[in-house]
Amino acid sequence: MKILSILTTLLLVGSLTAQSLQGDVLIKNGTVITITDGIKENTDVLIKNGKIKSIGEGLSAGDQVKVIDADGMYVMPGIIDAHSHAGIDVVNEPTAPITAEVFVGDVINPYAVSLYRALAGGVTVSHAMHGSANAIGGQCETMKHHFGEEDPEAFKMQGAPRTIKFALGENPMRVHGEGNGIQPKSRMGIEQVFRKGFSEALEYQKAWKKYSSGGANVAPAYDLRKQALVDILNGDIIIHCHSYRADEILMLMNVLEDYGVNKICFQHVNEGFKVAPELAAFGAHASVFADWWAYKFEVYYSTAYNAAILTRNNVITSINSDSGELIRHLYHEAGKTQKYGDLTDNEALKLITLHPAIQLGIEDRVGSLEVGKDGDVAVFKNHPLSIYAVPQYTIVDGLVRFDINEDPADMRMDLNPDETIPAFHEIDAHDHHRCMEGAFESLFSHH
Amino acid sequence: MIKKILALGFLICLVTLMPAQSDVPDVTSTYAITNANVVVKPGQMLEGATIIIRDGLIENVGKNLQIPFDAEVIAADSLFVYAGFVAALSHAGLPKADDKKGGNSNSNVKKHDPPNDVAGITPEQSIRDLLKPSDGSISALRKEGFSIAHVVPNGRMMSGKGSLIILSGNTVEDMVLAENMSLYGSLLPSKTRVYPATSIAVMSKWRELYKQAELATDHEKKYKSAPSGMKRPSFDSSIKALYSVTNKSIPVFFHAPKTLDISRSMALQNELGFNMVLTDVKQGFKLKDKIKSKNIPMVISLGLPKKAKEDKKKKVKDEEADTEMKQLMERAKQAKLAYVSQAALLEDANVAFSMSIKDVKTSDIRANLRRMIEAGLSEDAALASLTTSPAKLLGISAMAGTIERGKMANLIVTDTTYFKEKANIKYVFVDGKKYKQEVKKKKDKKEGDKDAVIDLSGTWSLSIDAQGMQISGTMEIEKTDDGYTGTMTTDMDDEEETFDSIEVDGSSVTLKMTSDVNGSSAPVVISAVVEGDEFEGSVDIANGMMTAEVSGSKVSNP
Repeated sequence: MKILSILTTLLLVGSLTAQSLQGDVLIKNGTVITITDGIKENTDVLIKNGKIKSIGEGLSAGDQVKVIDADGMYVMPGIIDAHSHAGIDVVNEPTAPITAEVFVGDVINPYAVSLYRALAGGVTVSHAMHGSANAIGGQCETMKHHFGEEDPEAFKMQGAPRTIKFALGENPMRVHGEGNGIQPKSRMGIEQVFRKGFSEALEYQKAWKKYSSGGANVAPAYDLRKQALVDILNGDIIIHCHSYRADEILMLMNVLEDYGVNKICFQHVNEGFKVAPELAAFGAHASVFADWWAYKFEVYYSTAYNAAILTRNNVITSINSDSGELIRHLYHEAGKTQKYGDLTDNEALKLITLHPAIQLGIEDRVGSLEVGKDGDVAVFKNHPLSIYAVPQYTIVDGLVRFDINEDPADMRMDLNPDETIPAFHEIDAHDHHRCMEGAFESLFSHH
Repeated sequence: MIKKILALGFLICLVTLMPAQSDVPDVTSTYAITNANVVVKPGQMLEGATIIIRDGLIENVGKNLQIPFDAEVIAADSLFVYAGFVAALSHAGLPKADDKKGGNSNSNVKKHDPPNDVAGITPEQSIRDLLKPSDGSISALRKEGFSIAHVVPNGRMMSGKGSLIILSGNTVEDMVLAENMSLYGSLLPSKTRVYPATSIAVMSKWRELYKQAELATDHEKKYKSAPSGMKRPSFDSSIKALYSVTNKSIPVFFHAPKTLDISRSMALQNELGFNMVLTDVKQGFKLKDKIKSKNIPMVISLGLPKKAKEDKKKKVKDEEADTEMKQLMERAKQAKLAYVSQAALLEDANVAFSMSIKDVKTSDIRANLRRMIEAGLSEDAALASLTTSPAKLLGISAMAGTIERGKMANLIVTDTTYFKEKANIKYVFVDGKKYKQEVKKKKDKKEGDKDAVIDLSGTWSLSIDAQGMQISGTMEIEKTDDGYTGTMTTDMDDEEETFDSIEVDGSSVTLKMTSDVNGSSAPVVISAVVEGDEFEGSVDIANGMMTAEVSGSKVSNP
């Protein structure tokens, strides 16, 4: 029974950490980068019950509250990644051109070590997205990085608006047109997938309205896919669309205008600089890479000045990772806009804090250090935009989820009992680009 | 030689099987098991008690009972009697899942809109249409002491309905105790990468079908009362098969081996509200408090991770390993242990559980139970997980699970307590029918001595015991520069056959030949240990098709 008691103790330790998801912490004497209210030297940030209670000098919080000495360090809002695939077990349901009913929040994987690596890069919130295999992919999840918890629910950012993945161009054409011989086979076909989907959704909504108002004695056939499209048309879901070419970006804005939809953030949007005024006029947002393109034909033409040009044209712009590697140094990615486009420090930091928060509809909760907002904080040695920046502490809802002084080598939480050699995973599939995960296998298995 | 051995072997097998079948009627259906240690239920034993069985039921249990005049008496002095086991989840008696069914080879299947059966959605499937009463898995389970199994179809997302099957009988009608009393479900995507190809699509499909079934129930009800002017309800057998789930008259037995499967299926259950049993659980130790607080019954898997192999060569390496490697290896060890300790930890937390035998080889059942017991599970709790707990879960406590008057005569008679390694089952009663089991005398297999030096050359006389049939023969072995060559002749046909290879490793020898078996060639392998002039081992014919014991001695040196 000795073995049993040891195990029980081990498991108890695990369950002890699974308490409330709101903590208290006092960060003392840091250089506080608020994003919305300038920079405050030698300032404290007090987080109580997961929320920022006060920002000021000489704050105290009682003996029970953990204190972080941030003397000589930089304190900024937790970094937000508007495009990631970390921490979910499935990225693509690549079988149909529209799969609006599926939801990656159903398959959160609390054991994904990539989430801890993101924390080690100061990232507290990420937007876990469905892939780009389908013209209308699945619904996405806005996640709080509560790595260490075992309940997937702990990672869902409660109250965050629903979001959904759309995709233009080569990916859906290849998977469905080439792969399965169905629409869309061309860029024109993708437009028709949207229009047909939205039109059928309108019919569906009409039929249900008629039924619920007593105009029909039998309920219409229930269809979760059409229902999700109805929710988009009603403005209940924000669209995040995988896109590269300017012509297609304009096409989708035209489609959305026809159907009265205005909540859209273009993802990648490598030719966004060509249509920046049009994006701004529509109110569309843009989430881009700092300096990454030419990995396929439709994204041959781009520029590292994309983020700066979009910013100068008043498009709400963010810089994202779409990768388990880039997510560890988004602060560095943001810094590149100072070389390519001379953005100010605050403009550059907004690209990875307030702007992605706006794009996800959570700017009232996160993205800046303000009293009343969530206690999501990243503490850096050296300025976060400096090449010498090193994250020290990452705090989510007042809980320290990363501490560089307590950073064990083995952060795995769930081991395969049949794994004979405790292998070092040189390449974690979750760390690389997952936009088309699951789609290629499907394509090849057909031929 | 081989042809004849096989022919005879089959005959022997048939003869031993036949009395169990109904061709030869039993003389009586009344039995008295006398003077036994009767384990009435977990934790309660009657010593020196008698059980009277009549017409399939336990007529009485107790001491000093009058033995009925028509009873066959089984003197069970020093033997133990347990209630027949109830498998809470099993695929017994079903054909193996056909992986090729409904694949992409059928070009008519649209990936985005496949028919339900290809998609893995067949809640309408019933065990009655699938069960094969003569399937070997049924008798194999009975031999381990099981008398009732909750059998569910093979499949993916919704494979079909489960039924309670009595593991005795010649026809499906004989065997069904309760029909369509559960739905077996999972988050497994389609096998052929059609929609739902991933678990996210499976989750939304569950939601959609559930809602559709609720709406269809409503439609049918309205149509029944006032059909005039109303569109008739469409007939969809999958949707119809879900009514009993949405109206909560039957539970969903949800396949949820890992923590993530448990979290996800519990989230789905919480959302839709169906009655659920978590099944095939392997990692319940992580979420036991959550499961307990939600009061969701659990069927844990008897399948365990492979036992860590002790490897001498590797041990040396362990000593050389650096600290990091040692830590990793320790974690791997603990990970394995956690799975084996699942049952013990659940018992410790007062969570009741039953056993699924779906993911375990029947021959591993007892060994795995012992591993769980070694990891801290009490024998009483192990027994409960195979008797009273599944009986309660499956709603058959009034008829099975304990040895009490009026219950079905499902019994196991063993020569010592069931969980002991050397325990032998002597009788199994299922539904009052007696199955006697020949206790195989297991010869202790001789271990070869790696350092011994032997001389195999010479003439050997052999005696082969092929399941009771005695064959004698001779071997002529010659020593050559490369090793040995030789021939064998038996009194089955007096034909001399040549060995393809003869390998010697210390005192262990392996002799191989290829022989004609019913028109095709098959390997025959003799593995034996030689000590001086004595030879002892076994013969394997056609890769395990038949085995025999062999012994012999050297009659002359070359």
